[in-house]
Amino acid sequence: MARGRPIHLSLMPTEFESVEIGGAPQEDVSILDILDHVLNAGVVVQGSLVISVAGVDLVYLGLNVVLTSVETALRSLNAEAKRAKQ
Amino acid sequence: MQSRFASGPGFTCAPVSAKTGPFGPQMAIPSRNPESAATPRKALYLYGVSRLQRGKSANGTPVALQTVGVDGIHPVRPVTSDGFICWVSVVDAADFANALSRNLENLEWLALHSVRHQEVVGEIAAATTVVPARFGTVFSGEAALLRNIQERKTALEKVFQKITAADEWGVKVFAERQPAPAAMAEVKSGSDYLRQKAARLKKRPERNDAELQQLATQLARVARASAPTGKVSGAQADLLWQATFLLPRTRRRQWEQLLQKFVQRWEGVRRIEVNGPWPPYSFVSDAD
Repeated sequence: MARGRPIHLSLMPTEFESVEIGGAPQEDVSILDILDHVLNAGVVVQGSLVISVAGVDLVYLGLNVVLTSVETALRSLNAEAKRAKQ
Repeated sequence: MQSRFASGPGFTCAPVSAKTGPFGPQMAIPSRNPESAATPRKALYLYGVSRLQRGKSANGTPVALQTVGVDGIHPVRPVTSDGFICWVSVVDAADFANALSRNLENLEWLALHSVRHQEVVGEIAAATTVVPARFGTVFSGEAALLRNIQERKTALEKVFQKITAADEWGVKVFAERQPAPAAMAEVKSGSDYLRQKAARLKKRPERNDAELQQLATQLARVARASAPTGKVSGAQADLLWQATFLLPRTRRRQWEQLLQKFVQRWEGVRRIEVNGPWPPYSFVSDAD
């Protein structure tokens, strides 16, 4: 994808790429995408209830806040792990 | 919500909870044993199943996992069974079996563990074909796991055929933000304001119009299968359409050319975002 810009997030396996064509990439979307794909196999009955009961818009807003903190936590965990290896 | 985004042939809109999959959740939950309350009970968390290649032991597979398991502590290891490799790690039964449903409602817990699940399954999928287990699939021990795999042998074989040499890809189409319109003409009344406001909103690109359906149809033709995307990111601003595809690796060039064609056609009006390659999470559910 000539115009696309691959993003390599530290949270992803190295093979993973997210390509946005014709626009600036939005990194905060990545965990939403992970949830979408990982949970798409349908096990999360209760989780999906939360989402539909609360209304998707509201949950999305809530998720953004929660996921940002999770992403930050994971980044610092990764950094710690790297330091430990050195 | 989901049905708004799914369109074109090959798309079905099933509620997430109505789907089934090769690995049910909490299939073999260890029973509560009050006597062992002092020591936390352990369970086996299943990430996915791959095929054992003839003449190779599990350790001889090309997979050397770098990441820890879904609990962030225990390593992921292979358990072999009659032609299959089950990728598992030890988890605390309290978190993943007895309190799983409560934990799934805790978004922070869910996000953290989903990311770890993806890290493990993604790493396996990068090296070998894997049928991903559903998030939260735990067994009381190896015996229960192997019994279950035995029972699902035929179904598993079918899924392997479907997903071999293919990856899952997500495609999203967003409306491009249009430049701010000129200031409103003089507003004479409340209803005048609403009329002007409505006229502006109408100029936005619409969901499920003919061009979006064209993209959906053509992507589905290149892909091996398609599925609706989960609804977690469904409320992203300006999202017009999204779907998930199972793409044979040999067709990636064709796929990219097709997307490129629409990128050029929609320049300044719509934006396409592609994510992947994912393990085939969304394409393993018809094995039961």
